[in-house]
Amino acid sequence: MMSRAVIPFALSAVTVLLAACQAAPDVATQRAALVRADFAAATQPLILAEFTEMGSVGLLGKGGVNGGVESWRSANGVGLSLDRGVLVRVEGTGPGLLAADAAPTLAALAGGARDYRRSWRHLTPDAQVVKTDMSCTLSGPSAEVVDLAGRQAHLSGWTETCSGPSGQATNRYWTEAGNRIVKSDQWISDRAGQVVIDVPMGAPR
Amino acid sequence: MRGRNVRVKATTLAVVMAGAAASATGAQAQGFEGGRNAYGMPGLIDMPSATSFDDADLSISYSRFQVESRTALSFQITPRLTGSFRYSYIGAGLTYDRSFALQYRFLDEGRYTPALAIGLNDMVGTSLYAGEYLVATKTVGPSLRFSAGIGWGRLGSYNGFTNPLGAISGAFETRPPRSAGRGGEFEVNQWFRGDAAFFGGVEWQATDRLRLVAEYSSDAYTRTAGQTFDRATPFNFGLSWQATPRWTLDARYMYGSEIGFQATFALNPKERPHFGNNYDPAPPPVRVRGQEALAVLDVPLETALARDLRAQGILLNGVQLEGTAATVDIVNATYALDAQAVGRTARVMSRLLPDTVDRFTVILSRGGMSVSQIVLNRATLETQEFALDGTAAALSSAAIGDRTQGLPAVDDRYPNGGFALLPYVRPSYFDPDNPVRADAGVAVTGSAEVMPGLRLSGRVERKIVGNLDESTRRSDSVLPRVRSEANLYDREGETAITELTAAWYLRPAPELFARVTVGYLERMFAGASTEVLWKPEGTPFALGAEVNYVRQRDFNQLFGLRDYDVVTGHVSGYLELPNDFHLQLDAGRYLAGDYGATLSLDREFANGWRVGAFATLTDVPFSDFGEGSFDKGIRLDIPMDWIGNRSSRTKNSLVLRPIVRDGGARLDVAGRLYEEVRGASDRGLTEGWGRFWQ
Repeated sequence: MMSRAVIPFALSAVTVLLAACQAAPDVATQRAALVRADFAAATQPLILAEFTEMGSVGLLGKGGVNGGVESWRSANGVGLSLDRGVLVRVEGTGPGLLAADAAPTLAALAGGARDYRRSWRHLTPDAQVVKTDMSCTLSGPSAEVVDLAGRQAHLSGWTETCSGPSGQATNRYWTEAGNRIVKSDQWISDRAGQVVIDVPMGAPR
Repeated sequence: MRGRNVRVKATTLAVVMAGAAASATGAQAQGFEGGRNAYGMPGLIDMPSATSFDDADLSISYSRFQVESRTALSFQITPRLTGSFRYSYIGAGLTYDRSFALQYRFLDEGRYTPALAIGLNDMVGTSLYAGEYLVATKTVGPSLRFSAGIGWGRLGSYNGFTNPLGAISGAFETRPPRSAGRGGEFEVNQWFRGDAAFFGGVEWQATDRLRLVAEYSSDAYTRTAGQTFDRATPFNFGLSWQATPRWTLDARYMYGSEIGFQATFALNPKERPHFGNNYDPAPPPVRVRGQEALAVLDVPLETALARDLRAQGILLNGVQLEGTAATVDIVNATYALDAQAVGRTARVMSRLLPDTVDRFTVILSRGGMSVSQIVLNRATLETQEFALDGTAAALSSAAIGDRTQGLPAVDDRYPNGGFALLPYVRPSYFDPDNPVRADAGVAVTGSAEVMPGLRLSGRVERKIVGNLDESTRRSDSVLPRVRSEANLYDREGETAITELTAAWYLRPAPELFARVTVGYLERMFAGASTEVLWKPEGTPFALGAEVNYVRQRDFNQLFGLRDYDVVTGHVSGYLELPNDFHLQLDAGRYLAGDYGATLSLDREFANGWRVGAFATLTDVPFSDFGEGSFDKGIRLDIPMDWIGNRSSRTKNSLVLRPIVRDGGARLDVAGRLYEEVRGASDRGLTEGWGRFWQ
């Protein structure tokens, strides 16, 4: 006569929807508040990360070092890993980045071939690893004055333009003397968008 | 918009599956999404088309015109096979009707050739919609699509002609009458018989979101035309608007006399909804040996491990350090996929264990019994953490195996338990008097692990609002009324103990699992349930046996019992098939004392989604079974973390039966072994390994 199933998720789903409907905080205001900090007074290395499309910004402290890769963590569980400044993992943000090869970009920034291939790995909601390959071209440097966590900095600007069968990605890197990346605007995934990362001047390294 | 997004995803997926089943995906002509007809199947307005939805597309649609409404749950079972279960109200007091439909697209559209599909509508219901068809669909240019077909049965009822299949055999020219009045039987001897008729139509994708459709219908609506509505012409016209990627709205002018509309909500288990992002906090990174500064232990190792694992939602059962090897025994209390718990445990271990340890073993326990162990090389974790293919590398270097013995429990591990207060909704479907009823209330659940393997569980529900008690239908079953008096349980059990059990899990031998559960096992039965499962390592199959002695519970679902008791049990075979399919065969004795077997076929996704169908045939004659003839239905498992923003092991199971009778009814005992352990087994871990570094 009837079939039934207990579905306690209905109410939970409403909660989730309500949470999703909350007004997004003003990222620019938050960023302005963060960059007013006196980074010279910081006791540990910090980076500032702004997720452009996801609409959030925050400070992350160093959580680990593995070879050339530094892992950064925010207080609320966001994780970024950078291989000498090139983004190789994004976690705790919903859609993220599982892995990426930084070597071709780093080689190009160091004066190697300007045309190269890069590869990324993302995870599908069904826990499958998706491979994304693109052909990339690096252009630069150009002398630029940019905002680096609230301060004007004279840096060299580079643009990495990549495209492949599944889409395209554009990354920008700004380096200081010695080709060290101190600011970047990097592609996470089509869904997650870009993240702008600043290494604040004055903060310990 | 929608079309573009989908194409990008399709391409990305194509990269993943490069070489694997590329031909099976059967990509459709570009530019068009598969349209949905008023039955929720690929089609025009009332007629079918030779298209398919995206693979694994799952939708619920509601269509209505005049007094006839159809609610359909449709699933793209494989890239070519579409299935639908439908609940209809066929107006003017005629009837409620439940029916199934299948369509198979056996030819992809080519440059000059159309896609071709064959379909069966309402093949096991009461056959009010029974019809078969062969349809061709061809896209012309970027925005026009034509479909034409030949239909039989209901689809051959308007402007029909002598069946051309009569050339094969004269028997095709006559459609025999239905042989059974209770529904539920395959009326194979009717299929493709009797008069045939042509149908067809055209779709114009006017914009990314708007599609205009016109069709010529071969359905004469023999039963209702002239009674509930005026079928003035065979032509239908419609607008289909893709309101959002998930919602489609249709407006139609039907048969020259009626306005119709349809709303469809579609999702795909393979794609997370935008509100379902997984915001699990990032795990701690691996500590590479040589960085002792990061491994400051302010408390004993055991305490620190328990604390840091708990922060990851993982419970520590035990820990053992032997020379250069460290073993931890854990319970994954948080992550839908055990591989994620293993990955996080390994990283916590790297941060706390001395540099001299070079091998990590993680024991996965479930229900207090150990299930499997994963041996990881510490050096591999260090080198592969950020490697491009570090996921595959970590898997290939991991040794996953059976584990029958856990570690001695850490202090304070037992007893362990807790309570939770949760809202619940208990829906009921397809009562002939009211197709959807529901109760809502609060449930107090509690569980306690007394010692390794022994768990006490209880659940008390208190109804707050609802109308399940409005069902006053009396069971007319001639079998023991093991399920058909559910409405009495609803009415009398406003405060009900829905579970009160003690369950003991144990590992009698390698590859063998066992369970004994006693108490109030489910809403309607109490007693003892025993089960063993043989799950050989590295194989896609498992074999189980279950024997239960149960007694029917009082309708008020407190402590009393009724007179009926039965020994029931099954031998169960489980088989993982390629392409996410899973087959289960249970043979044995059912609650009403009937003997028979249940066949279940599911499509399972690594993230926990499951969509499947089952059917049970027992020695109860169809006439004794009653309406529907035999037990069958479809089931959905929806993982909570798919819609939530944190990992969760909770799943919601929805079982839809066209009708619930007493034949072929199984005991509903919690914690059956196969589902308990398979995620932590070698194949389950490998399947979900993508989340190892998450």
